Amino acid sequence: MRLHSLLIGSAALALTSLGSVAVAAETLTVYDLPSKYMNWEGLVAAYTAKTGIAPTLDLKNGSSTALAALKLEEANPQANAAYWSLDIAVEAKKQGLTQPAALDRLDMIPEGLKDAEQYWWGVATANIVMGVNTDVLADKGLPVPTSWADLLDPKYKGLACSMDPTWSGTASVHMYSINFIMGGSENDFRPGMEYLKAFQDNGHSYRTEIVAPRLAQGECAITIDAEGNILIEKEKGAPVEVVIPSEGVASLPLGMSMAKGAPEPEKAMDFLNWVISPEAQTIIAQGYFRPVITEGVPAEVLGRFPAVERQVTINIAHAAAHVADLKRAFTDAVLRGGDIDAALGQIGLAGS
Amino acid sequence: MRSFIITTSLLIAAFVILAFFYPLVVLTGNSLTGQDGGFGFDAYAQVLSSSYFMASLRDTLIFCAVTSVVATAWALPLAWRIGRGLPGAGALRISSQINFAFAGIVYGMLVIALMGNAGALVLIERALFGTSTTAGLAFTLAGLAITYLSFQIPRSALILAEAIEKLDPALVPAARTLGAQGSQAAFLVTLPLLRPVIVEAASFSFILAMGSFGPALLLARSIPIYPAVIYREFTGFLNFSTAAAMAAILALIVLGLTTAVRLAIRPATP
Repeated sequence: MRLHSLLIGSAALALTSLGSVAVAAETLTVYDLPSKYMNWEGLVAAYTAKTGIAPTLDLKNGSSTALAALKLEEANPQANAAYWSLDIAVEAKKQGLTQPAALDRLDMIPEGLKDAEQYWWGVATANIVMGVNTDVLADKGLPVPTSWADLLDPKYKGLACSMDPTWSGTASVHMYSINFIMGGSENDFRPGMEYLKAFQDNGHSYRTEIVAPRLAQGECAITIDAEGNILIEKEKGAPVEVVIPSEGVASLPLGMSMAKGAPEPEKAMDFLNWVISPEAQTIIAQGYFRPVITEGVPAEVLGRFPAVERQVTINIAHAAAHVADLKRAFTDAVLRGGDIDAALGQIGLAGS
Repeated sequence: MRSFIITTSLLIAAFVILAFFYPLVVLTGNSLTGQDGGFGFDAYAQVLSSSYFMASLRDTLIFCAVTSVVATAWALPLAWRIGRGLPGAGALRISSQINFAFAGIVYGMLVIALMGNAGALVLIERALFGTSTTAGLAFTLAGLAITYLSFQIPRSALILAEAIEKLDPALVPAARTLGAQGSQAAFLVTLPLLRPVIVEAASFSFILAMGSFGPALLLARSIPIYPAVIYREFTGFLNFSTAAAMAAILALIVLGLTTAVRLAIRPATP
């Protein structure tokens, strides 16, 4: 009997270690590459075809969850690298969760989209715009909205979906940047917060799910999203269009970092280098996200992006320093229906 | 035989430690560690003094208590059919079991696909009646209740069915022979016998609902469901100590309530 259980035990142990060896030979753990965002599905497929190594898709649930997971696993790191909006990358550096990575083409990335100490760098940008489902709007006899202000019009009541800024990096950058589009300043976020609250008061929703598929299905008639997510649905045949709101749009910087204590640093470096290579940057551009290094990307691919007249530039350092506080203020003032002045006053962003 | 007992005891010990004590210790440890890394009850004080957290906890408790009672009452006739092997029992059992496959976030997505703004039900309603009352139902309090009931009822039904199967099938005919009407037999004989398992099913249903966060994360607009609020503290704000304290409070209250209910309804004679 004793021998019997010993045998079973060692067999199980052998199987487990075999399994982990097999897994380690093929995958590269990265937090979090959403398959339906920035065409990570296509990027990972191309990288796997080239190297035989498959970076993990959809392990976590967005930028914030990736950061939370890295922090929890600080003593025993599981992930090699992370993909996130750059404000969260700055936060990760501050929390000591990432390490410098000397990538080959880092000097080709524009200033402002990379950390001087190589803790984070941009891999793409995307304008945060409005997506519309033209079928649903036509069905309701509504014109296509043309401005952010249009969404506050009661005739569009309840039709628009944004994402919850406490959940999505795209939405947290929208929460930050809409303030400057609405006439706010770096120490006065009331115009932005008032807009975000009025958005909810008009029946629109802040969702904790990726909204691009919802726009394609017509579940959301209007979305606030990165332009590429909308354009890729359009390319797949969904009745959707990108609207560049007349007040202007902000650009969402998306980037990567190498995790501190990455279990497989060489493999991680190879993958991180590849993401900013001409091959990957072209795949990113084909998925309608704007490459950070255009050199080597075919001109016809670069010519397909919607033209923008009023572009709002984000100060990443300021955003990173205040986004966590703003998420708290957003939760208090918008989600919980509290007072905007009080919520922003607490964090010193209610103007002078 | 002795080694068998030792092996099984070790397995049980490993299970209890891994599934219960270890998470509990980590959770309690986190809840007692402040943002600065020091020991303290700050997180508990913060949660207990926040009117928002407390209102969310209260509303969630009420919501889950109501849905678990309704779900258990609703499950009784289904369970009777399954337990007695009446026509349709097999199909009911399988559909109740299939329900287990859809958990958390997937369940929420399913409900949006059915009762969202452009859900399947909405399209059918529009095609049949030209109306759109079900549009966006998923995001209302009624929609949330439907969602919870739809995973609480099958689970309650399976628990009840198991007990009904074990009831002596001769009891009801005996009561009828002694002159009881159908409803009298049900209320005076069957239900009292099932009382412990009804309480068990309702408690389980309540625990399940209080711990469920996936559907709430996607659907809850009308009331802030407590587990989804914990999730936001955890991933949205990296506020591990507050989230852990909130979870510990949730666990204590649920454990306390279900134990109290069980003790209160325990039959006087064993």
